[in-house]
Amino acid sequence: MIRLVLVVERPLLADVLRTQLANQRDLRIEAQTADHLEAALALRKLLARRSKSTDDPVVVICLVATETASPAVCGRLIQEFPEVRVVTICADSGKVQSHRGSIAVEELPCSVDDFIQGLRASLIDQNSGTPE
Amino acid sequence: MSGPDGLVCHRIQLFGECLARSLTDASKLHFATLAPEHLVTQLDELELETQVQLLLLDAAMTEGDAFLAADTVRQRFPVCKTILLVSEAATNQLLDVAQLAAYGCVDENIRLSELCSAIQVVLSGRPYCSPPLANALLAQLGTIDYHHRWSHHVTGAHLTAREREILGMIALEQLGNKQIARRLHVSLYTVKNHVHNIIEKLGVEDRYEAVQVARSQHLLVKVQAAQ
Repeated sequence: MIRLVLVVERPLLADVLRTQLANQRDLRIEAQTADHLEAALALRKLLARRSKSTDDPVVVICLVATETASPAVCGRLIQEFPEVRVVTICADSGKVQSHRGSIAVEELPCSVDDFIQGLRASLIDQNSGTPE
Repeated sequence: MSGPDGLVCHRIQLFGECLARSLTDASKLHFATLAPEHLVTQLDELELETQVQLLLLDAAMTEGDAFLAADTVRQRFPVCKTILLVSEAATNQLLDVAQLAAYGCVDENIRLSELCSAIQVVLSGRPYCSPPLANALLAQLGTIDYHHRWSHHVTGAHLTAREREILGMIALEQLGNKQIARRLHVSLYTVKNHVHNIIEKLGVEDRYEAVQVARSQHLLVKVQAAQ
């Protein structure tokens, strides 16, 4: 099970993204927040709960205004929660990027089905230790 | 399977697809997506008998893309009604956005259920505008100096290349709709639609007044230069 935290400020976009992700049996939306500070609170609760029972991967999906804003947003979250994967959706370019640590960036497909498949694949690679 | 009833054109592909799928799930209509950069190709791929009733258009796309999307879909599917999706960043440009001649205007702060309601209103033939956008638009109208800035807004600056071409044919060659349709190899209906848009965009009563405005604003010089 992949546990998701959505950080999308605009309610309509958050609604439709949640609706499509919630259709997937192996994805569970744990929290939906409007900014990364709320997301950090949600992550603290989620990770505290998770450590007792499961090591399911946790992914934060975050809408950012520009690509240049991604490192700052991701850096803050990854610094506190290094085990968490952060995926950004850039409003200006439409690009979807996966972040691990402050530097590594992997581009994910922009269409819904391919995005979900790409997310699964990148997490499997990470867990199995396969070089990416 | 028949073609879509509605189209979604959003600058962020992932959200465009999520919107189309969610609207299809939530309504009895089938929505498909259009990517702004391959608009004409995608429209060509739609079946000719498809009756597209609705275009949900992201007003935050670059201005040219938004105008191209609205114009192309209007030509291809004349009964199609456009609803603009206005992001917070675009609310200070509502006067420009209004020139896309949409039936509806909603902001991204609404919920999916509200968007579905707005779509029902527009499909029933009534206009819809989210209250915050209506308030913002009124506030912007209030800041316009009628004789100067408003007249700037209704100049031919936002006429498309095709509309300018047709305006030139009316003014310089005195061509009628049928002659223009033959010249451009398009349907008579398409020409009527263009003329209607020219009249609306210039804020005039009829084609003769449009020619007068075009002459006074030197739009015809631009047409000649383009030719």
